[in-house]
Amino acid sequence: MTSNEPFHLRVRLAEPLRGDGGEFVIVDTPVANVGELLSVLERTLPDFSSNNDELYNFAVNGELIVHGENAVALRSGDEVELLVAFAGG
Amino acid sequence: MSIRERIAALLPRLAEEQQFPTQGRTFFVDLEREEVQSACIPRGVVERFLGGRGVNMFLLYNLLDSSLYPLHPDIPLIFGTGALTSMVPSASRGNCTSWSPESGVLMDCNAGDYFPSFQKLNGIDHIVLYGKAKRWTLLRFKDAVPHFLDASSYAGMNNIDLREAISADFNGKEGRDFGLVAITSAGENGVLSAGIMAGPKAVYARGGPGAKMGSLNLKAILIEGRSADLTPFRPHKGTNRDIAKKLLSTSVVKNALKTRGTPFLYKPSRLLGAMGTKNNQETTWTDKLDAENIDPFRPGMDGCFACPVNCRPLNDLSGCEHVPQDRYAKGDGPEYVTLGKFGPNIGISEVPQVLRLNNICNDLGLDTSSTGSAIAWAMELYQRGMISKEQAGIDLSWGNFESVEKLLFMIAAREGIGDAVADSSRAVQNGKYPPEALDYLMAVKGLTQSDPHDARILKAFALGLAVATRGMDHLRNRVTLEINAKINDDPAFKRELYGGEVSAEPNSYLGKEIAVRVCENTYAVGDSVGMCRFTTKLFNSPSLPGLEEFSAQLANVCSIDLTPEELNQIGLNINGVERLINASLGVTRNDDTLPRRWFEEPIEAGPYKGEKIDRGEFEAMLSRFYELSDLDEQGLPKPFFREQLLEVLGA
Repeated sequence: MTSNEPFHLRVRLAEPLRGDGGEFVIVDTPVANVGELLSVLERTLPDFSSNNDELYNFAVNGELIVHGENAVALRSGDEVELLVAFAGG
Repeated sequence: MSIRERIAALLPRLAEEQQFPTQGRTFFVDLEREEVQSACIPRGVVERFLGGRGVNMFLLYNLLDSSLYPLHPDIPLIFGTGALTSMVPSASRGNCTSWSPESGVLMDCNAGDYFPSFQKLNGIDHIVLYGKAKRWTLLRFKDAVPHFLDASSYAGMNNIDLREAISADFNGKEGRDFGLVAITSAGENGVLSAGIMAGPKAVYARGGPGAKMGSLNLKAILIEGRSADLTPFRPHKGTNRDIAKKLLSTSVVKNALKTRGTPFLYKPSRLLGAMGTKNNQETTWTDKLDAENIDPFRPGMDGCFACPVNCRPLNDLSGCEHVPQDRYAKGDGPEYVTLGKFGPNIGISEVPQVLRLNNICNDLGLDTSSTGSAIAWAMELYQRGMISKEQAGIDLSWGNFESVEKLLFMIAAREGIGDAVADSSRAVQNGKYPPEALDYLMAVKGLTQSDPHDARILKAFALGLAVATRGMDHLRNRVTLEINAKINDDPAFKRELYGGEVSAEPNSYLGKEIAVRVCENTYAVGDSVGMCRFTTKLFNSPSLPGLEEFSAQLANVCSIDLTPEELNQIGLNINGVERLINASLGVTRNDDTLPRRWFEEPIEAGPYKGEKIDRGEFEAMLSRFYELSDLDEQGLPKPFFREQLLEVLGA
């Protein structure tokens, strides 16, 4: 990623959060962190905010975020995933 | 005192008549003499220990002679069904309790499917088995009357053949006409990781119950009675409907358990760098085992008695060119535990291979937690040269699928190296491995870890595994919500959920004892009413039925009035008596600990690279947990708490 490329994030959504859309969403609105990304997703994806409950965690570049979610910094080109996360089975 | 003398002393303290409308009887079954006595558990005991696991502990405490050994015929094997089992949606569970031949401490395992519900519906709340039968025996309850049948023709059979044979011989269908528990060849051969099969996959798994049942020459217990005719209690229908709605609307049920089941757990553990790999030498593994990659092999889901969730994935490998097309090409499972223990933990990365090993374990009646752990331990010892190629006789290199498949049959038959692996965590004590092998055993209180999650990061998980009364097992007290960022990031909600300050940071030690205490109480009550752990509040969701709903249904169904606060105390009581039992077996504070590896070797992957357990912080957290639990510095009930317990326990 070079500095003159436009901002973009590739976001993979957990199945129940996809609605009628696809598996991946490209976000080209510049965001600084996960909290801002969340706002963009809530604004642009129908039904997202009502379904995005405690079952879903963010992973950024293949690493699961388990606290301080909103403050995790994002850079253009990052791979973000919203996945089903539970720990008892 | 012999077991018969102990029972003779206990019976006068029990009740002859039913103590509440849905109560069944407790049967004391002398397998050697083929004699049976029965009684009812007094209301005072029920109000302190409820049923299922809790009352099993009351019985074991009174009947245990700790001067003997676990496989002695005077050590009882006890099946208990929950107070609400079969009568509330998703309450289909029961417990099986004894002195574990595998761990050497308390054995207490929990299973669902149909047997516990048939117990309850036929008025058989507890079955206390003792004495060694003179021949292989099938204990048949017909109209709640026990009969001792010759089971010689079933000897040597494994789970698939045995269930088919019993269905044919008794002209019925499991789940509709009867409930069945049975052991396989592994149980007959005293394999210490052998379970008691309660269905095609459902198993009383942990601590070697199959070996214990085999030592009594008991092959199976059959409870006959059509379930459709045996559901007389309907005053609670309205509340049940509310509970079912609550279950089905909860996100983890709706979006995970009902669709793919527990294999969903693999991915978050992997991405956290907490997936136990190669006997926890590493903590991350391939994405090829993510739940979505099992989809092509999952023809549907199955479930337990009257459960609306149906969380059990089935599997079908038909046409898959990577594995043989035989009786193990279809099956039930896997759960996350099996996926982890037979995937990363032994270096296997192909879904069809894991599914096939899962199906073989189900047929051989092997607890996948203990068996997978014992194989991983053997593989690490092989890697380090502590098991030679000559001793192994097969290649025990990581990921050698063909060897593992062969090894499972060798374990069940106790052949070659399989004899050592069949001794599970006791292999050093039994002279099969050198003493230095213990350095690499991932066990607490003699029991290997139940699940694959490496708990060096999440300190609440670590504390739970250390203090669990049956050994290193997550199902007793896991604070699973520690992995949920949204809950961690909402301090007010978290404070209310656990009733105190629990640090938002999963790798902090602060306040974790509070969360473990709350979970341990809630889950002990859940086990005692028969509720499935997956659908109990705090285990995967804050929105599932918990003490409030249990309180309401105990009143509606059983006419037992206990507030949620009183139920919470019952959870504490159950853990208290479990600690008294363990103390009689030699357990001390030193046993509430973790494997050496987690204190000394940091995690090398993921966002928490470098994390391990700090001994000083851990000991301080353990002391805080004891204080909160009314336990003294040695982890035993304080004098006032002990007195309260003994008042009901007697003896």
